[in-house]
Amino acid sequence: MTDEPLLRVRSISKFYGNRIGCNDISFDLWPGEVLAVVGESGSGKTTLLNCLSTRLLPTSGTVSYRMRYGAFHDLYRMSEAERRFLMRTDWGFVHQNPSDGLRMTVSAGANVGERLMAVGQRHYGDIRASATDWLGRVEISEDRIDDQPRAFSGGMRQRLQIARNLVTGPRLVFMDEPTGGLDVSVQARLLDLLRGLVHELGLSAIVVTHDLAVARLLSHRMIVMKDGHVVESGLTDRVLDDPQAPYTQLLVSSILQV
Amino acid sequence: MVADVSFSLSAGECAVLGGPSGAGKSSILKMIYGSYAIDSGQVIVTHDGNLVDLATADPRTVIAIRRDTIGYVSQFLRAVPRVSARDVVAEPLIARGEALETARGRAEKLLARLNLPERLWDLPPATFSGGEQQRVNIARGFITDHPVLLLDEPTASLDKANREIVVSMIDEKKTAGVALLGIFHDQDVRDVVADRIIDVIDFAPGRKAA
Repeated sequence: MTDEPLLRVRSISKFYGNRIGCNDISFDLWPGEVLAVVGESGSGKTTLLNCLSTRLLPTSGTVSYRMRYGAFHDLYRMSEAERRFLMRTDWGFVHQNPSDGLRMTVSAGANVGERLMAVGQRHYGDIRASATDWLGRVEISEDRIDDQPRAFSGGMRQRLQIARNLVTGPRLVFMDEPTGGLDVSVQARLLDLLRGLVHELGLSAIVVTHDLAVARLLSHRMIVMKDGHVVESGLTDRVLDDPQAPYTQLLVSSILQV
Repeated sequence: MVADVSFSLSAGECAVLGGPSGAGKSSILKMIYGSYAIDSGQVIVTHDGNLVDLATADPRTVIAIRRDTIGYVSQFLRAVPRVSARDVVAEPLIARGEALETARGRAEKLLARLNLPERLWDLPPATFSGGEQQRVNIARGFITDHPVLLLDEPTASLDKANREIVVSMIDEKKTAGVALLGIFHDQDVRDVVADRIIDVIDFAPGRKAA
């Protein structure tokens, strides 16, 4: 375990005019740690995720990321080229809707291979071999490699999106409702897969979800948001088993029991 | 729930929390494990050669303590979809860096010792009976050599033969110098394993004022 965090978030705020997107949010993310950001629709969790992943410029605050060579860089003081390089190599972003993260009209293999080409790989045979390997790891059979994601089911598309993100060996993955819109058995498969991959690769991840069961299964630590503010944070099972904030108590008690 | 809880636990002893249901026995275990918040006071544990206060430790430290120092056998198994019983048991060892095959081998030995039929090892425990799930849970808690082990009614839904196996496993932990803190509603088990009973009634809120 290293003694330095991977990501340092300090006082991030985002205002849409007078409305609060998210307000004064600070935390550290450590290597190998999975952080869940939970809250209902409109609580600001996606705004926060976008501010952290350079998809949305925060109104104030800083986000610094520890580069592979050890130095912390402020994401919003980097050049656009450096940010794009991070996004393509060191980071992954898994969208709720796979069609936002995939190119729907090129083959599954090319979707995975494209990220490798972006980091400089040029050997077609190697790229195809890595793509095949990654499709296997996300349980997509080899004979689908030349099919377009348009021809895939929702669960398969989501697994393909994960393969596309992980093929470059990122250190940090952002996920926005990765299991949203999938039926429960497909969700279970995806969660098990994600859980295994995160552990095996020692990834750090920030997962936005409204589903507390997803947070329980995937995350070590969680942040509960309401109206753009953090109302509670802590170890995942502590927050879920002994919620302190009234809002968290309401959320936890609203879970349907099967 | 509880107030002014004070006690200490030494290596190689098994202390049992006593008192009626609702007195706060499980809450005390959960506060020590970190899944319940502590409003005031300290829980000091020796972790990695240092004394750490669990009441104020950050989440990352609590996770490290759970991985290396404090094990916990909960009353109910929280099943993870698609993960086999064998892997549920092996997971704590793998988290500590053990090789997959070694960890699975140790898991199988424990499951066999606890008489869980071999045909169940490949299945996720979600559909197992209460007693079968509990044995998976016990195996998972006992597989590592954590110096502290918390047991929340590990024998509640077991038959006599399996209870005796768990008792002998607890004895082995004691011999190995593990500090155990448990809740056992089963009188026979409690009488055999307990070196000391800590009466939780003494920690009822308001008792001091009365």
